[in-house]
Amino acid sequence: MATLRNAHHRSRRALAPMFAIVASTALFVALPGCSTAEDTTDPTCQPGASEAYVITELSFTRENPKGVAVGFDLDKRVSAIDEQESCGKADLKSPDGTEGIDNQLALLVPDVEKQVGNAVDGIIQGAINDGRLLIALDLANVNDTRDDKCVDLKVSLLDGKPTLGTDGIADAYQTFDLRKEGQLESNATNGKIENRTFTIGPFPLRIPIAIFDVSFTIFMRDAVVRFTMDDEGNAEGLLGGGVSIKEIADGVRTGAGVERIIGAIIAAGNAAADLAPDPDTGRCTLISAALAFKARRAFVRPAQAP
Amino acid sequence: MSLVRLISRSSLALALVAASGLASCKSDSSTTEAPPPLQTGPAGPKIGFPGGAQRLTKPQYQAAIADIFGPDVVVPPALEPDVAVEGFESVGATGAAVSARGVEQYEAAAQAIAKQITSEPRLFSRVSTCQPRTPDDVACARALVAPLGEKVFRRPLTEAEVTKLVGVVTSAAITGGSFEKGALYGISALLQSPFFLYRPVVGERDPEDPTKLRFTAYELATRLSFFLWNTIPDDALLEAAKTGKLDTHEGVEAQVTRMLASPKARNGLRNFVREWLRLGELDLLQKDTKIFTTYTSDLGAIAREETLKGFEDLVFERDADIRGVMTTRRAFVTPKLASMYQVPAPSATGFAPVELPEKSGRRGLLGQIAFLSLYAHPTSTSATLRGKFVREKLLCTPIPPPPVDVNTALPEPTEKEKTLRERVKIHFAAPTCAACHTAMDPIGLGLEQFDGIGRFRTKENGATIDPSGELDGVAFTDAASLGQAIHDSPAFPACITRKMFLYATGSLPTADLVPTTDALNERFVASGYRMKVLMATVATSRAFRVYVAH
Repeated sequence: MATLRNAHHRSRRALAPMFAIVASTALFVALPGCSTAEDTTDPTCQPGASEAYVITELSFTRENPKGVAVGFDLDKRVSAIDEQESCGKADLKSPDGTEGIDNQLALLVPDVEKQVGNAVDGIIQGAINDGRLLIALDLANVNDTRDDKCVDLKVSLLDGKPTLGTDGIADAYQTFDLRKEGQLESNATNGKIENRTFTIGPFPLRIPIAIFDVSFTIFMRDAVVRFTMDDEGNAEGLLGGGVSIKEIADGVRTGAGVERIIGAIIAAGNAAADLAPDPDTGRCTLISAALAFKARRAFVRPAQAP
Repeated sequence: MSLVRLISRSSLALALVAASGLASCKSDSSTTEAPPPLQTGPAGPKIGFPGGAQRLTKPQYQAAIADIFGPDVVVPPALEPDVAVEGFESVGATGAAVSARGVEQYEAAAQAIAKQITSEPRLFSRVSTCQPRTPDDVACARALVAPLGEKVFRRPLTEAEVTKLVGVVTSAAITGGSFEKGALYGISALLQSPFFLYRPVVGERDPEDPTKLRFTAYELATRLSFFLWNTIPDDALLEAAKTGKLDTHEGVEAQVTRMLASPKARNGLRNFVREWLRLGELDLLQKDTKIFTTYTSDLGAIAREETLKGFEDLVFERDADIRGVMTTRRAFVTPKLASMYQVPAPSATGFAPVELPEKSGRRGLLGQIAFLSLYAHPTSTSATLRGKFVREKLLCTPIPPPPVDVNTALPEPTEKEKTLRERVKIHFAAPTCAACHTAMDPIGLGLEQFDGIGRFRTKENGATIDPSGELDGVAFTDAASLGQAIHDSPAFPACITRKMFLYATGSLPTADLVPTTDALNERFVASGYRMKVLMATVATSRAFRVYVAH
């Protein structure tokens, strides 16, 4: 029994790098100057209301069928298999036929699951449900929830124990506390809502993560978020960006007991990297990733003054 | 059969025979005859209160035990169930019989409580400080049963009763070998007595009107206490009865004022609201969890507490116009309720007040989950149940039950009939259905923006919900304005008055009560619809203190 439990524990810890990708893809800090200037004459560009969502379901995307996966065109180009800029990684197509989708992680997920078991999405759901991975998407300056040209976004980690519905998912409109480590969050500006679909990005990421007994800070570049909202307080969408394999590796090594598995994952990640080629070595330093998520309206209680 | 059981059964059987005498003294003779001769005292009463003696309801039994022995004494939950009449258990308790099973339950409860008291010195010292020299110490037995009996019976015991109980204690003490064993039987016998389980009424001639009877001072003390506190009289109230202060209007007023200032008055109000709005049924709340994923088994209890806290706040914290219960945006929420009301939780745990947003459309009682979930089906809303609630509970408009042979099921939603408003049209097609449903369904349809568990929605099956309607000629646009229409209706405070009077007196509604409740309502209105004034007005009214013997 003890052996089984230890094996299970090792397996859960081995998932830490995957969590790092999940969390780093989901949490980012605004990069000033990378979006268009606000249209100050537009009525939706006036100070507006806040609407926070908490991610209640988060899952890796996968290639299905071959050559097709959801995601974003992060590098704004359609890469072919023989191009050096993408380290020889051909882009995918989205299910609606859009070319140039950067989501090499989708190809990697099945291999990773072979290493760590097929419970990745379930473990992520468990982390959300017990409050270890509560990610807030806090829209600011919302004047029109249907079409708004100027919406800002703050992403942060939350603390709290969600109340789950009988569907096993956190109920909408719960109140959570801003996590102390979430002080690294900041505002991203100049997002847009078009026909109830919000889009913002790209942004870099810098966020502390604590999964199981592994703690580290993740840097991520060029993240994009897009989701569609309904009238009942639900949202559904994607978040994606470039994940630094090296930084994940450096961070995860601070946790004990994952050396055996981390090596294989890092090797696979490096082999799949398709973004940000190093000008000296020509090797890509980031792997493109996209995660699907569902979110529900929530309230964020400001951090208490010390 | 054990000695305990033998004694208990005997005493209970005798007691229940006595109770039946107390509870069913209806005269078959013409009501035009002069009242029969009065005979006061507990032995052989011949004058009965109309309908019979009131049995203690379960909450009253539990509260009485807590007051007599302490709140840490556990009361077995299995007791004779209460039956509501005219929507009130307190009315149903009038003349209520006890089933054979109920007798056994009362016996078991009495023994369990007595055993707790006598087996724990900490608890036993609350009822007996005497140090017995022998197990059958008569002086200590008397020192136990006389003062305890006064609390339990809510009046001093007669010498005959004391002697009898002392005999029980000493006999059992000899058999059991200790004073505590004897006390166990004595306490058990007290708790199985009809003078505890019932509120016997013997009465005395009313000095102001010889054609009527009034409650004796001790009976009035009990009546006041169960109305205003939902528990037994305290020492001060019994003392007021003993010293004749309850024989005067001024004396009664003084006690009522004191009682309404006591924290116990909140229990009285809470029990009235619980019975009036049928909030006890929230314990049985069941929802289809595939449809209502936010439903949890504790939701009913939480929702009930929210409603009760709202009434407490209006009445005792703010002493405000009770009609505000229909329009207030102030709610008391837990984190769970806050999420269902779509507002930030004001507290991480427990209940805390919150002001609902102006634009929420959720106002007062009709916006509370207690009402919205209770008056709905397990899988859907019900315009009929919600409308019936408003008619019967808030406006006192009686709605007859549906004919026994009618199919009350509504058609399933279709592409053409997505909303309930479209589907209940069937109710208006047949004249036999329309007669009642026109009084209920339009009201309930005004609440359709709240689903079967009370969550706000704007659409049903993809179609936009129209919550507009009309209440007795007053148009409303949604639940908030429906609440305002009820708030503004003179029928609403008049209905509260009527319900309060029935609850307080345990009376069945009769035509001759109308002038009484009209007069009470006038004072209620003049007070600015303040509930404490209504409670005091009812408690000090002659109608509360005087009755015509049957």
